[in-house]
Amino acid sequence: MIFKTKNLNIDAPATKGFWRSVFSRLSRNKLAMASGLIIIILTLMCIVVPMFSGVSYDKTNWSEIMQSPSMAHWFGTDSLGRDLFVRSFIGGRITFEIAFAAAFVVLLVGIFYGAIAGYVGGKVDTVMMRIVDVLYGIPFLFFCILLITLFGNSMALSFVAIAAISWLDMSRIVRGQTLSIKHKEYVEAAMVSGVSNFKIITRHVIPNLLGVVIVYAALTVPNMIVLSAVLSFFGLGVTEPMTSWGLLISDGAQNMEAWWLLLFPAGLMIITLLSFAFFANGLRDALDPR
Amino acid sequence: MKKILEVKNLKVHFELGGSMFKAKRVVHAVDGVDFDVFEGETLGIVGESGCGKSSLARALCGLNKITSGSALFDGKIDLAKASSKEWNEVHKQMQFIFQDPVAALDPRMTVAEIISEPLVTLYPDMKKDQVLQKVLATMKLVGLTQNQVNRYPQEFSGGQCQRIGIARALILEPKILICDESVSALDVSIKAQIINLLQELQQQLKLTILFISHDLGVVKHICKRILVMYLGNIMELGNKQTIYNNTLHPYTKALLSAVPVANPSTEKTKQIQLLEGDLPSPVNPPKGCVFSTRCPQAEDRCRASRPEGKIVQEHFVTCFKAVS
Repeated sequence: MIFKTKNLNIDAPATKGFWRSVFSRLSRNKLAMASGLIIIILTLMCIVVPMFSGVSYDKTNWSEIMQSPSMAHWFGTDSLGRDLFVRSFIGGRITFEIAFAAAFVVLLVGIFYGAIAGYVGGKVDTVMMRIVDVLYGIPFLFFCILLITLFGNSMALSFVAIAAISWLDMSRIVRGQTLSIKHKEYVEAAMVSGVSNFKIITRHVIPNLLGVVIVYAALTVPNMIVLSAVLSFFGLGVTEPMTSWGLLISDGAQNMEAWWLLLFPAGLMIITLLSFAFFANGLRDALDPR
Repeated sequence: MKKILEVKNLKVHFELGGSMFKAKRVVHAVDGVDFDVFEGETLGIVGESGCGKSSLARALCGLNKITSGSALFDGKIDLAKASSKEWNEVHKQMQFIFQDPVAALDPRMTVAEIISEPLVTLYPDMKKDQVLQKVLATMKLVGLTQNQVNRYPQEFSGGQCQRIGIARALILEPKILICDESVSALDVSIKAQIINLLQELQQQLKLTILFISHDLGVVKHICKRILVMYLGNIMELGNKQTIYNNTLHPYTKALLSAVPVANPSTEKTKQIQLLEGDLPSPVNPPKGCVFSTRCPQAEDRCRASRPEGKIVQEHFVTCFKAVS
């Protein structure tokens, strides 16, 4: 709850809140800020490039097959004469969509599952965490193939598969954090004031574990990009003519003499992964100053 | 005087381990205590670490579950069987001040949010303006300035944090304040400030204070009656004067003899009654008197059966020797 002290004529300077001071520390970390900027630019390009380039990502052109990069085709063309520049960014769009959507679901499910397990404790905790352990035991690719045989191949599927696997780590981390926060005196103070368990979780537990969670989420996005690439590399999930970085890299790896087919999608992906890693690193330092 | 809290044979037990293959072990943290707290008094609860004083205090405000016995609050609500609605009533009347002043404040909340939390929770209909007025009034009461409302706890010193903690407890205008080692974590000058503050507030607001401490000097200064605990049992309970001047229980004697004296010449000649050994495990307390394993005066009957608390010379004492 925010109190307005203005109309009471009290000079009550509000000091920088937790998140504002985190941001000011983060903004001093140049590498992290540059990485963040790169992520934003890449995300924007993935949205904008396919919209305004004037060339459709699936338009084949038989007269311009396998051309190396030129002014007309900045990233060259593939074996069907499609423009790789547009295809790289539409692939990036799909990859980002899957990764961000999965990260969102992972945050939501992981935080609540872990926080409830950790806070309630006892038998509930045991049962909930054993379920996580069992799900951990399922091999990722086997799980994906199972999903595809059951529901057919689609892009939504790779999102479901990635989210279903990734929330497990998150829930474990959140549970561990919750266990330590649960016994802090400020939680007990809230109990003595009659605050309900749900409110304690949302008001005291989750805000205090958010720092760790956000760092982990930033680290987990590149992981999801790799997972979605792995899936499409094996031909699961995204299918032609739609594309993703995984598919493009898989294509490029089969045509090694056309170096641009591998270099540009792989390069974009590496830049993205590194940016996320550096950004998450900076975020962790900003959240946990020493 | 009116009894505000009547504790009868209260037990707080914790279960340890206990799986499919292992028998459960029970920690007898508080093992049947009887005492009354009167309105407006300060009752000191003393004892060494692990004697169950904190468990007792936490059970009284609902942080630990009461295993058996009863604790009648204000003659109406039995804390051992209170419903959650009744607990809300109790929370309005009984508040807790914690040991570690900094850890007791949520680092993500401003002072105003922290202090107003009990009020907003227990009186959900209250208007925001009223809440803020109340917060400011309470801050003034505990010696905080109004322009600190929007700051975060990490910007305050330990003593100021404890003031915030006290303000949070007082905003509900409770009848009882339970202070669990509330000044132990503060340095000496701040400790004195906070103790004086508590005493002033007690007079001003007619508070009843349950003051838990292992610092006998502080307890002697602030409390009217003193309750000595050992291994989950009451050893001795009585007025400050009778406890200090006419000590009956050998444990209390040992405890008091260990208090350092400021005068170096008396300190040199003073005889300290050292207790042998450690506190026995509360998982399987001694069969007889709980203190019999370390008592310098223990006899066979002490080890064979547990003495019952008797009122001797104006105080309640649990010892065979004191009775006879």
